Amino acid sequence: MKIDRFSPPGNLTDFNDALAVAWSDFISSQIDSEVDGLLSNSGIQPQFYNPSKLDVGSTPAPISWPAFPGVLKATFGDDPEKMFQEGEDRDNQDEYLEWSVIRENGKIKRVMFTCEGPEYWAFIAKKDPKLLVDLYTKIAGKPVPKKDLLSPGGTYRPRNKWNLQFAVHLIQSANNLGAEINIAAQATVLRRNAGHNPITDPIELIECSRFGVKERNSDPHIGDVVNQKARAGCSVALDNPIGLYIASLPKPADLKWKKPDGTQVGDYWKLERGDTNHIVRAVYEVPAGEKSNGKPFVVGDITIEGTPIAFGGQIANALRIKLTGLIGKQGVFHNKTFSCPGTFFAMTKPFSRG
Amino acid sequence: MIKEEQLELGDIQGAIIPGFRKDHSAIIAVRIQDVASCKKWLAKRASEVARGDEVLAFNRLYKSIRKRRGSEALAPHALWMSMSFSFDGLKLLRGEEIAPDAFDPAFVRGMFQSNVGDASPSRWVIGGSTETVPHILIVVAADDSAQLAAEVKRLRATIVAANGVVILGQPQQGATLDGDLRGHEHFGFKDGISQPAVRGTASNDPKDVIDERRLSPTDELFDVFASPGRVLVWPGQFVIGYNRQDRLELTKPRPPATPKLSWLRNGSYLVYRRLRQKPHVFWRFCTDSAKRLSKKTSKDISAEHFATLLVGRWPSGAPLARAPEADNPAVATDDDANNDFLFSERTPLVKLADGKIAGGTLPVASADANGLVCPFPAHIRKTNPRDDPSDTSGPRDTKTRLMLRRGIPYGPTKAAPRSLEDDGADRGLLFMAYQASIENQFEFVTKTWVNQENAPHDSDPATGQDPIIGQSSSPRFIRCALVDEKIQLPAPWIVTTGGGYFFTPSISAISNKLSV
Repeated sequence: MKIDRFSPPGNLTDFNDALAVAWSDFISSQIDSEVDGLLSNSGIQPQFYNPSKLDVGSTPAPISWPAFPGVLKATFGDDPEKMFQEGEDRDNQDEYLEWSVIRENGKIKRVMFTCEGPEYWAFIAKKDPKLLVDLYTKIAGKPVPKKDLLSPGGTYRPRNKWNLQFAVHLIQSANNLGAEINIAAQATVLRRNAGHNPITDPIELIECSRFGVKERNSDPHIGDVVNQKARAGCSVALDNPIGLYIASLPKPADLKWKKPDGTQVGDYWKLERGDTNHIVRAVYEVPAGEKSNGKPFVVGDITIEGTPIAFGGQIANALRIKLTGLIGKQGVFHNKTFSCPGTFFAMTKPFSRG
Repeated sequence: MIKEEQLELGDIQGAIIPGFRKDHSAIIAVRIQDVASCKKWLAKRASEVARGDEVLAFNRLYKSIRKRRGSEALAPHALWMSMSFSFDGLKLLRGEEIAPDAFDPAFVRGMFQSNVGDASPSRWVIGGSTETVPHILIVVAADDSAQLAAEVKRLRATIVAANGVVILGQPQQGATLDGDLRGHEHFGFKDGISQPAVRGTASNDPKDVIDERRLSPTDELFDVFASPGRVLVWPGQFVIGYNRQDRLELTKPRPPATPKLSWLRNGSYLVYRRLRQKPHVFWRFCTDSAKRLSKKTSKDISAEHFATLLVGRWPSGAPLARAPEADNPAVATDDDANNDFLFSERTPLVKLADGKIAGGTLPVASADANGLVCPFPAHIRKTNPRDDPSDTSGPRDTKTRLMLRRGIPYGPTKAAPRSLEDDGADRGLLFMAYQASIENQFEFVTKTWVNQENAPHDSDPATGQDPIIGQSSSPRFIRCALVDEKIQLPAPWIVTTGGGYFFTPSISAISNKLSV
């Protein structure tokens, strides 16, 4: 079935109808740009398509990966404290999930997670600055001055102090919807190695096509799944609403995290934006009134396998991030393979996750 | 040809590499009560610990004699011992030097504190609390049960005489199953077929490789596999101090880790899990499910076939990938075929050193990227997805998650393994696996793949947890191509009843550090 209109990420209801239409047009044009790029570079019909323009009888296929940065695990895995410390830097949070932490008396009180793409917020900033301020105020729980978000000329400041404090949306340079669309598109290109054999290994593929960073969990995995389907002759698109999402909020019985008294924690998650299948913002905080040993406690008093939560990344470590592809029928395409592009092609891609 | 390093097998315990491979075993759990007495006792035990070079020499001799004689009759016998230590055990022996940041984090916290899905550690036979985690874990293994019993008796006497160490509970006996089930586990499935091959040589002769290379040097996969389907892994994934497997490279190694304590070199981490199995529950479910699904699908599904979908191999050991519809004993008994398969892609034919094609005319594995032949949640596909896409970047990363498995069954062989009657016997598997990082290997595989319903393969709907060993607070289930249904699984038929995380040090570390 063709998608009538691309919904906002997470099926968010921030927009009026005019903005919703404009957003859909924006996403559609991003996709068309990728499809056109593939067509002009390859000369053949791309397997990546725009599902608002074509109906190929596809089925949804989730692709998910661990949320804590694979790069940090590979670099600092032998030193967990260092690893989680590095993980608190938003610029190191590169698996399409970012988080910020609020502390009280040195202990973590609240951890805020976001998968919201910067394009969504830049779009709002441009189209409806009042809405921008209203949404920021709602997220922060206090009035946010417009001047903190927009320059006098009206340019949006994504790295404003409110975003840094409350993790309103993604800011790491590789975490954006354009990159998501780009990887999905580029990964539909079938590649061959120097020996003229089809490339099937995801690391070899990402090194060849250069659509991301091979050390991450996300980029090679997205590329691997998409390319595998493309090799099987399927068309591939991204499912509506296009976005990146927290796959689920883990249950206390699975986490087995402990309160100070040694008993299992309750469910301290709050889904703040999105819906249960498309979580774009979630917060982990001990509710007021919750007690342990008769006393109130905070997130920083909770232990994970005996270790107190000192970093937001320890919670991110329990999360998975997902996107959903749309996969068409097998055997429809029989595209040829392409050799690995040179530097020039890599530089002409609009969004690079690298 | 890739240059491989020589392993110091004279210093690496033989339980790690090449592994004992004995029919009889006993695990003795020891607590330290007086450090000085323990050290004196340890000093005498150090020379009794089996070295890798002598175990390898024995295994090679055994193999050549068996080949020459055509049977195991009159084969040489051996008796081996290994020693491993818990974090608390090391701390007692080495004091302040034993800091958490010098060790694998999972090892430091211990298995009963780790969230690998186990219920009720307080009810474990061993290892369920700080007080019941052994400080020292001794594994004795022998070809002959009488020789094993004598050695256990001797060791017990030394422990009593030491007057500073005590045995926790009774030694845990383990033995391969009887008769036709030798080499199988208690559900009746052949076990231990797939093991990684360790890159490296036993001496400074580059041809003296530890794990035999059966592929022809002219085959393009010669540098990737030791034998058909048996992947080569750099030794640093199993023993500290050696080149490690790089999760981004096909064959190029990652440099060795530099341990904060130099004497950790040549050591490894041991995961020990006492897994109680309930064959009657397993086969009751497979029998009932086969009947129900046969009716539902109008196909004739046997209990054995259904069980095979859960495991990924037939009871004979033949992989579903190469025997999709029925068991194939010829595949099962051919060591160049029974592990030679990929999941997602078509498995290439490989040429052996003698010029023949591995597996001869046996059916090859077709590409199964959609899980139509071997279900995604099947045990062997969950624990080692091979060439499947995985959520941590794919097949090269998967190689870094492999472990050296050295387990052995315990408890009596059930007279009729597929009987639906509960004979009340305590039986199961003494799971033992060695790796350089419990956190990144055993715990990663268990937490990120086995216990998850949507990993390493994700789909909508999800395909479920590992039906054999997966644990979850939510009701477990699987989905497979056999039927369009979320097949709910009953309460686990494998339950952890003990175990722990241990460090298996080098022989020199026992002599020069732990016993002084």
